[in-house]
Amino acid sequence: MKNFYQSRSSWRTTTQIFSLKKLVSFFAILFLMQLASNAQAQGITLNFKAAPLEEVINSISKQTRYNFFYDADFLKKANPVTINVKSSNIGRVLSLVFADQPFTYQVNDKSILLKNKTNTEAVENTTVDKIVHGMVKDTTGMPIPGAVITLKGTNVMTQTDGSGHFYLRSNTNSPTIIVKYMGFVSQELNPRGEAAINVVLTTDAVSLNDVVVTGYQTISKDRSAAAITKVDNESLNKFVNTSLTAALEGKVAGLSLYKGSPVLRGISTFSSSVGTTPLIVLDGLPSETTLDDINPYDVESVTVLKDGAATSIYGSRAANGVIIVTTKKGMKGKTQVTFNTDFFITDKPDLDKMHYASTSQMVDYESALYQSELSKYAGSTKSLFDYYGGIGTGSIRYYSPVYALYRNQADGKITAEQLTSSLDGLRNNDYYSQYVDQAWQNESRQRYNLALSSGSDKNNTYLSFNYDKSNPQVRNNESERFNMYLKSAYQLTDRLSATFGVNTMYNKSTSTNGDYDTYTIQPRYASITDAAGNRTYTDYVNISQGVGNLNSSVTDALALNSNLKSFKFNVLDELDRGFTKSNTLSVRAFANLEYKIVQGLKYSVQGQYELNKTDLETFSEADSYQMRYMYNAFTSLAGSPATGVYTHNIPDGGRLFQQSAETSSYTFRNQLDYSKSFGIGNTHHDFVALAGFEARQTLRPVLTVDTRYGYNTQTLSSILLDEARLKTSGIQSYPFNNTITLGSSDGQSNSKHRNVSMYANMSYTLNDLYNLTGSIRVDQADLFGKEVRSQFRPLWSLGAGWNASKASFLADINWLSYLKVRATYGIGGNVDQVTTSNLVGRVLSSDRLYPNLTYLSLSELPNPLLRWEKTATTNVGIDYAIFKNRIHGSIDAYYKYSSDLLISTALDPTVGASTQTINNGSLSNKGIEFSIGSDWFKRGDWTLSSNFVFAYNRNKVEKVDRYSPSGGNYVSAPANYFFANTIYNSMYVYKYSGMTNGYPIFLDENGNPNVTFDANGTPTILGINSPLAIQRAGSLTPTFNGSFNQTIRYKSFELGAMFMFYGGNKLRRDVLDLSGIAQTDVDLVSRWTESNPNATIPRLEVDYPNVLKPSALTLSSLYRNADIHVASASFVRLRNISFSYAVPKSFLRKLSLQQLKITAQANNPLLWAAAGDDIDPETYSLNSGTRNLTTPKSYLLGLAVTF
Amino acid sequence: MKSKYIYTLLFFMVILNTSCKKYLDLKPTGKITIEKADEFYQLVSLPNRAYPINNFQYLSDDQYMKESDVVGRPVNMNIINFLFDEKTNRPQLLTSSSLYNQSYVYINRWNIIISLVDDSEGDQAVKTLAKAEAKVNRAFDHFLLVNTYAKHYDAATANTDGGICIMDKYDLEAQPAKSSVAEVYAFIEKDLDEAIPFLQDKPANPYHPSLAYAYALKAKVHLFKKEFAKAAAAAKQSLAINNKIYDLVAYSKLTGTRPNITVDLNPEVLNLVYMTGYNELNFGYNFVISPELRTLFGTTDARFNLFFDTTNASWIDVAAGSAWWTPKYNTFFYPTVGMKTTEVILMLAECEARAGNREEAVRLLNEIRVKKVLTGATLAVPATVKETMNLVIAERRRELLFGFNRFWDLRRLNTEPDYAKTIVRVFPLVNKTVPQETYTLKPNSFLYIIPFAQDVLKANPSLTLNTDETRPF
Repeated sequence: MKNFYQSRSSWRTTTQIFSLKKLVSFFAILFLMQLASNAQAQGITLNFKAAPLEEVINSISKQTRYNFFYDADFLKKANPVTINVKSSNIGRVLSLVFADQPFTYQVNDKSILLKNKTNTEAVENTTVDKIVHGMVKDTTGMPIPGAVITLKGTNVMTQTDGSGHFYLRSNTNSPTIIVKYMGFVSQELNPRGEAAINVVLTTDAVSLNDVVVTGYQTISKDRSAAAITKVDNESLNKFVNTSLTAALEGKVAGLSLYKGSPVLRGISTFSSSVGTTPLIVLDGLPSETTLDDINPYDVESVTVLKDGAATSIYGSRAANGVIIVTTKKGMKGKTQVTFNTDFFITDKPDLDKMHYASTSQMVDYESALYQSELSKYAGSTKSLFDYYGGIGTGSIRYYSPVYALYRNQADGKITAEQLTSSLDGLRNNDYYSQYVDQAWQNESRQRYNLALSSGSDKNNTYLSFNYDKSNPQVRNNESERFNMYLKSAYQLTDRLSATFGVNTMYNKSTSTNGDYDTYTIQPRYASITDAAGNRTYTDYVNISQGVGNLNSSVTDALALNSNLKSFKFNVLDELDRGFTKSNTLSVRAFANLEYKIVQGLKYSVQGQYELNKTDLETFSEADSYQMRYMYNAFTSLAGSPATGVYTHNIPDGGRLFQQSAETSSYTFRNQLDYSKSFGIGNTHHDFVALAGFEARQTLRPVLTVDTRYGYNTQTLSSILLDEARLKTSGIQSYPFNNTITLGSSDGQSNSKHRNVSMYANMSYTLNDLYNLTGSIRVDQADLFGKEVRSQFRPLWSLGAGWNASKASFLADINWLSYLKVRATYGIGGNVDQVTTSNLVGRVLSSDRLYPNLTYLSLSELPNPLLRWEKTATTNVGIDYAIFKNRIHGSIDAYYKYSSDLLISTALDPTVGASTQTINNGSLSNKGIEFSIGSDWFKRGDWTLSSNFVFAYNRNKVEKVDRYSPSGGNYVSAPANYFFANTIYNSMYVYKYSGMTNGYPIFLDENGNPNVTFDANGTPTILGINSPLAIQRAGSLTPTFNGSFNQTIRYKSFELGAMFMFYGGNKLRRDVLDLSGIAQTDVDLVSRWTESNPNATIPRLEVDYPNVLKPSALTLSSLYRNADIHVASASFVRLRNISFSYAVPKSFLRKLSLQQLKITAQANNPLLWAAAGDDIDPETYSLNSGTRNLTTPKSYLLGLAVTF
Repeated sequence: MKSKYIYTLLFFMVILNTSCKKYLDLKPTGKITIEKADEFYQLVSLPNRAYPINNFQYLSDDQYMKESDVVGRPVNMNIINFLFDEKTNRPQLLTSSSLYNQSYVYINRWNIIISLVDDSEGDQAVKTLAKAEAKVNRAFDHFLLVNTYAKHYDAATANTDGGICIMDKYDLEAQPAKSSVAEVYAFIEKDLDEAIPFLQDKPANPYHPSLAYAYALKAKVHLFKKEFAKAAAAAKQSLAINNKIYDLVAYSKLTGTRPNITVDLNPEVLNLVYMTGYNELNFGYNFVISPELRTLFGTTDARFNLFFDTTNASWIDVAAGSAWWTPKYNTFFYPTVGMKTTEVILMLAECEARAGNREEAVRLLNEIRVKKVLTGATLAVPATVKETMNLVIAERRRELLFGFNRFWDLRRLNTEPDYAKTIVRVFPLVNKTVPQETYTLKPNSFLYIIPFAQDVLKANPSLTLNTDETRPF
């Protein structure tokens, strides 16, 4: 609120008084001098001899802060003044100056009004001359500059000056004045007598949100026609937020945060590098900062620009919409200190919802698997295990501990009885639950925020400090974040003001090796600790480290070999043996200078620099599984194992990997703002315009990377490797009996991009009733094609608005408090920085025939027509308030057409490329958005309010020039393969036609079954490839989403709940993979088998005859993607429920506190999903139909104190 | 007063607009923006240039398939070619042809050089050389395409025989149109003639075409057009620069571990292009020769004895009498698609034979044979031209293995009644569960013309097939 009119006051100081009669009326020409000065009125010194009155009052005004209000006519009548005073006070000076004048004066606050001597002056018969003057303030006592005062029934109007004063002459004795200011309730007054009137305007409940910050300007919503949603501080902080992203969910119709990724009004690009994230604008300048990196406590408001009219001013980066974040600034008046502390705790995810087969079922399954595989080798255990390989024989393949037991039996190491008892022993283990109990912890987080705000007439400062510490799910992981934010604004002179700020964030985290984050690294029948609580060790696990796989044949053979290290594994040990430490420092510094050139014209220059630097360090201890594995793998042997020479090509010791990455960017902007209000005849015109220039650079230099082996943390020494050999020709590994190389990542890359833009924007309002807005922007970037650069291809917008409720014919409808009708059309763009317009080559030197030769590979063919992607949006909408603002909201409908989208397009291969990424795709989105809010119940101490937000979006691929002959591509990669005239990211399915003998059958493009049986019942299984055989089952992206927010307040208690819903999309049910041997799903128990011929679940690969086993993969993929497994992905989730208590003001006063509030909150406590079956669509992989851990519940406790 | 500000603003805008261009002219690092003549020249050099032969690999009497890859298998291009199947509509199976697509990718690279080098910065001499070299490569690619996807050159009908699309400039938006066989040959000859005056004897590296190679290619073009005198002249010009023959006899007599004959040690190599890549012959199981070719080698040919294996392996039927290639690229570098000096000698021998110079022809053959055959190398001069020619043709089969060599020779010689060959294949030889059948490939079979693939036909609806097969859509 304050923000709003302060920023207006700095450039809207129109203090002229307008009148139609200025040419004819004797009284008409009025001057108002606003001569503010820094000097205090402690003493006035004047020395004039027969000077014109004007000169004298100028001098008085300069020395004091008093303004004179007078009719020019008085100056004509004035007598010359002779005065000589020193350090005199204002009262005395004025009485001396005006002693000899034919008129008198009146002092009101800081203004001096010259007026007729009513007693002595003859009043003209025909004209009544009454002066109406006074001051307009808001409820906090702050003056409102620029308020419009009209004499009712006339065209006489004026505006308040910079200090809120106004002055008006009336020709009637009892005039009625109307005081209007945007965002406030208008008032009608009947001033009696000549005393100054004080007008206090109260804010208009509906219009509270109605001032919008577009980043380039602050404009009242009444004067804008764009689809803009502003989320104010109160709404943002309704709940305790984990991040700013979470705070925005459900607050803006059309902004979907499905699975955490922001999408505004549907997807408008095919490019994954452009993505869907809206442009983030921080305090007016485009920023590389993500929403999650902004401290939600520093945010004053968030404004989301949704349509083309609002975003086109951001040009070629705005097609995804724009999110404008305005940070807090110091408040004028008392210094305020706010302290917040929050404590979060998050449950461990519920493993029961994963529907895993039990330990015993897994042991049975793996036994059946073993028998089935053995039959492939005609019962020869030797042939079977030869396939899996061992030291010196074949390539080594992993097998599970159950297989290892069978191998021991086959090798005669254990008897059949011992085998059975070992297997039964395994049945008592439950690795998953042990893992959850011992390797995971409840996530916790503590957050402390201290903010200080202070301000005076000349400057204001906001300073905050935030400390955030969390312990993520896996033990030994932790992260800490420090955030400091300072913003300071100065009114340097009357004309010059400046704002400076700096935001520094330091992020420090420690994490364990990601391979060990999940319980699936070992089978369910493995264990972490035994009954006595001692850690148990397994001989090896299935983590290959990129050099080769292991099995018990290898580990048994090496068990007693002292030249090699043990492969034994316990996950808790490993979680203690290697950490990645990362430190990120982010700095954003900005400055803004504003200079008032003349009234209504302002020049500003803004600059911002952002730097992000991340240092990463991963140390793996010598004893870690990883390093033991590497050490062994890189051991070669010359001679026999017993007597030969072992060479360790990687030294004993730890490994240190270091990486340092940096990005930086700057933005520089020059802008001119112009505003003017004037009246002509019966009309009132407001005109606001701006024009500017912006330059921007983003830079990502090459990474600094270093890896050291044999690293000793004590001596900090390391041992050099023969990298040339290890990375190119490699070495012969003894345990893995093949040639292995050390991975290398020697390629370096960097990027640097520059953009320049010129833009202009204007809005015109007639009689506060009709708006017309327009904008234009020209963008140029280093990556655009030369032909595009030489052309003038502006992005532009037009909009029109009608404040209908102010129209006379609607003004009488009592229940309609507010109605605005808007329509806009505008074009925004997106830039994909991956392609270029140049002929680009890479220098290679990897020719194996002539290794010394360098040559050029053509990495990109020149695309001289490369240009930005273009999205044109048409938007129509209304904003409304009814029943004395009791119910308010807006409705918007839009049509977005995105063209020139970069897409890989099929070319005639004859031209020399089968595909080329060119601006050749189109997408459209249409949708409707709806929001309604109401404080619908207010009785005594009770208040009930509700908010409902709903958005529907339907998108369509309009043009695509690529065709895949394989239907499977459309099924598995719907984001890359799609048909024209369908919803982008659609699910495709195969037609299921039943199951015979455990073989699922599907229909091909001609409607023929793909599995046929001969007379003996032996099936022939064919693949289905044609794209004609697949059907579209629906969208994978939700087509509608929204929220319902309910608040119940009783005295100082408040209960709030927010329900989120997303829906209209589809998912595939979680089904068994029929192929492959790694099964974990409980459904495997009820599959088709010879003994369970009535099962509804097909047979698994293990149940196939050996000759048909390769076909299991074909049927598995058809089955998984069959039409019978499609279910709705719609869901409603109780996102937050909170209960808070604010200590009453009366009590706080005794403690000298302004606010004390305690909140208890639960996040994600309840879910209703249409698919059922314990599926959480928010974490589920919809297209692949695989379950992931459900969204955990978290509990929060928050305390807020303001001193 | 306000207008003054507006003018100032406009002035700044103009200034900014001009300095803008400079501000935006960023050159990406880590990669090269190809702008200079030197860089265009470097672009000529392209290692690992592959011309996959899988569209016609088994459409000859030289290569052979394992029976289990044919019997009971769904029909594919290899089986069609191997069993000379004229009934299956090949375009239905050919979704895309990597030979076609790859060749035009290379042509595009040469066209980038030819179209853009003139506007680059740098020495005129470098530009001329880059352009000349690119033209030789472009000629080679067009030659290869026209001899795979169109009817063999026949002076009588070449003006109306459908050829391939000529790509003569860099243009991704081009809408290529098919030219006649005669037009394609004219284009090839023009490129070669324009290039030859500027080429170097010893280019900067082996991936730049040399003068000897350009003459060799010219000889081949004339040979295919049956302009034997011109072919002989060009072959002689090529041999004047390089006529070295690698002595395989001496090599096979080395005792102990034989040295590796890497590419730089094989003086026969004229240009470096491949079927799949420099290391293609490492995968010898893809290159199984027919029992017929194995017999043709006899028992004393070092080219067979050193390079082929007839013992059991999972990819051959030993009982059928086939054999597979064994040396790896770094143990003995053997050009397949690329030309070599012995091919030039064989072309010259053919021209001499056709001209009736039987002695000279046989002398040239023997020049090769003494370095390749262990005993009985020297052939006697036959009494007739036809017999002499048959010696040349047989020697070509033994010396020019794999690649396009035999496929093209069959196409070429089938146009002459004297040398045309009907291939007869009795199959299967080993498998007794299916009836043995005899398959024949007539000299004038349309199978010798590979149809355009679906991706090309789809993108270019005006492109007609060069056979009577039906378009799949």
